[in-house]
Amino acid sequence: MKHNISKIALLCGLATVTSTFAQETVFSGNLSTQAGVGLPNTHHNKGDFLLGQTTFDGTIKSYLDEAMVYVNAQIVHDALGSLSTNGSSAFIADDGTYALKLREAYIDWKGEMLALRVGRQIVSWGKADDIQITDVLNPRDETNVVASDYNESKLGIDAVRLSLLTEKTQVDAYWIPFFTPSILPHAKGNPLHTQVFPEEIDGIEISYPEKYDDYKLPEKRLSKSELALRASAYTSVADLSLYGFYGWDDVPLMKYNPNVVFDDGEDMPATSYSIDVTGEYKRMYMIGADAAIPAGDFVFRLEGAFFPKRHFQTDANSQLFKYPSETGPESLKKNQALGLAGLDWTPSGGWTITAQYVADRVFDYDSDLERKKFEHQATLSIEKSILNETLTIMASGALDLWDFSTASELELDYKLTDAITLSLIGDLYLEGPDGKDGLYGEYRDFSSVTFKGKMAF
Amino acid sequence: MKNTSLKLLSATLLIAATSFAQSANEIAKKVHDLPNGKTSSSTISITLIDKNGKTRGREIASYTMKDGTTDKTVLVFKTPRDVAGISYLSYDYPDKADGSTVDSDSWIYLPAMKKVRRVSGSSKDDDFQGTDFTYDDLGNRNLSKDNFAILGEEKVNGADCWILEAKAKDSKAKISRRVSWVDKKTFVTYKGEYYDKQNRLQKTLICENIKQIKGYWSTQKMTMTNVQTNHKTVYEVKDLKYDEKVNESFFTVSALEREQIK
Repeated sequence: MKHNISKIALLCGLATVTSTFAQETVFSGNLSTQAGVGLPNTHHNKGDFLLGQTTFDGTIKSYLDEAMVYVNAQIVHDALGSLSTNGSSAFIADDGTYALKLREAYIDWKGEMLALRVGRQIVSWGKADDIQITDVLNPRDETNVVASDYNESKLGIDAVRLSLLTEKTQVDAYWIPFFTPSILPHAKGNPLHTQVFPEEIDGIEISYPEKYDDYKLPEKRLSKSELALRASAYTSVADLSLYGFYGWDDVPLMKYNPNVVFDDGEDMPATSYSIDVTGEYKRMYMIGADAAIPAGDFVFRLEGAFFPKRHFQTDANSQLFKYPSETGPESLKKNQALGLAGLDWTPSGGWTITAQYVADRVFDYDSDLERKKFEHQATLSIEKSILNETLTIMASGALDLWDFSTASELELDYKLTDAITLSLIGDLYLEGPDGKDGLYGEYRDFSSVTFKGKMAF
Repeated sequence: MKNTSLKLLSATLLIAATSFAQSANEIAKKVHDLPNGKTSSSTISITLIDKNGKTRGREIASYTMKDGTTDKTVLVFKTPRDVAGISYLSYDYPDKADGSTVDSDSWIYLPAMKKVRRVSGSSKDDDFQGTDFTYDDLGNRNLSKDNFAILGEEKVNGADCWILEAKAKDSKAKISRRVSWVDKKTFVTYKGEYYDKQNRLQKTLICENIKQIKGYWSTQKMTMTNVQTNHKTVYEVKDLKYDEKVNESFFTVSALEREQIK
């Protein structure tokens, strides 16, 4: 008996040693804390904290031969209670102060020419910086505009990705069985909450959905799955990609339902009038393409997407008052085209300069739509590292070329040590010269200055 | 007759000058073409030391492969942790027959963006990741960018060396002149001096731990000191292996994106 136990122990030991040699596991993480306060021009937000979060972010990568397991999760404390969920990306405390987020968790395997990735994953499509053109696979956490980061706001999707790989080409096919919606600012403590979900307008009470499952979500059925395809080629002349997507729009379309109460009968004046808002997610299709073309110190970037018969939100007034006997539709189906031309310039001296022009057009436009027929904007970003890359200065801005509203950000990152970075971030949103909101004016009360400390380990 | 003698003297001087220049070019070519294996893998350890003696460290996994005349390189940052996983792939091509350079094809993968970006392959005189080395200092600077001359001979650490000068043809180059002490036998560089646009000494290079590994001469420690800022970078190559099997799929854009390169 003793002999057998010894044998088993030896075998277990050998197995452990073998697996230790074959397997390599790497843990990395960071702890960040940030606080942002409203600038003097932010009206009721002046001097208020608009951001207060501490985040522990941990990543485990475990390699076993040609396979890898990757897990990235976060524990977040939010002093403002501004956190909410979409039912799958995060588990949130009732008061919005704590979150446990599973950002990515997948198994990756690579063979000779085929590769497979199964599980929650973040995918980046397109050549645009911080602007969504073809990058439609991942929904976003849209609960914050203060010191927000486009890439950090992406939420993982539960998907199966099958890839065909050659030296200079790559074809990825995605099956996304479960729909993941964007996270909306439902928490009462979220500074964006009252702006996105106002409790009343002109004295009329409005009741919005209070949480993610108050919306009409796609059923969890095979027929409601999402599918996507990307084909890319990398050559000396250019990197080229083609994209196709059949899925769901990540943001719900709102239906404004009047709720009229006649205490004394319908022929008497109404005693109360309120609006009940419901929301529904709609199907979306997209085809797109992009290119990155190097030329000396420059890289030119092009990206375009076409969304056939996309659902666009109609405005509340047209829904409520345009049709005498019933409310109007919450959306209209229109074709949409988006295009981007960008330029990266890396002159010597540690400078990085990027500029982009983005145009967005809805065809067969209807004035009931909440958005404009044509929107276009230009972005500029300048980055410079100095003092042997201990101090990085980044200035970026977006100019809405229709109403001339602007969003601009200045960020200073100082490396106190290799592991610790201290950042000062200023965000400024301005409406257009005639007081028009345009693309960015509605965020004017979220102009802020944020202090951030981060330690990586 | 006097005129003929002068002509003869001029011709002799011209021939001497030409042969001296050719010799400098030949040395430069031999330094440039030092064999370094069909494949290599190593861990690069970089220590940055500021004027107060404060140090910062970086560790990078490096893989190289020759594919025909193309040199393929993959670098993966291991530390510091905030840049861990950033990966860089480049394909470097030889000069054209007319001596003009061919831009590299370069991509960078940024884990925070989950995206591979095409990057410009032409700018090589920028500092490499905040160090005192430029990309050119660490790579194989194209010979067509410089005019070469031999300034003399000197012993360094017991080795007889040529003092080889490389003057940048581009008058706007950040480093206008590079002077290297090149071992006459092995054509390995033992030390160097780098001069700025105003021809003032800017950086000094000391090469140590020079050994033959699998028959290839390898410099495993380089210290570059910026004498103008008193900042110093120590660049060490560890676990250097040549001609061993490396995973060829590492040298693809899709490998960068999949974060499969360890």
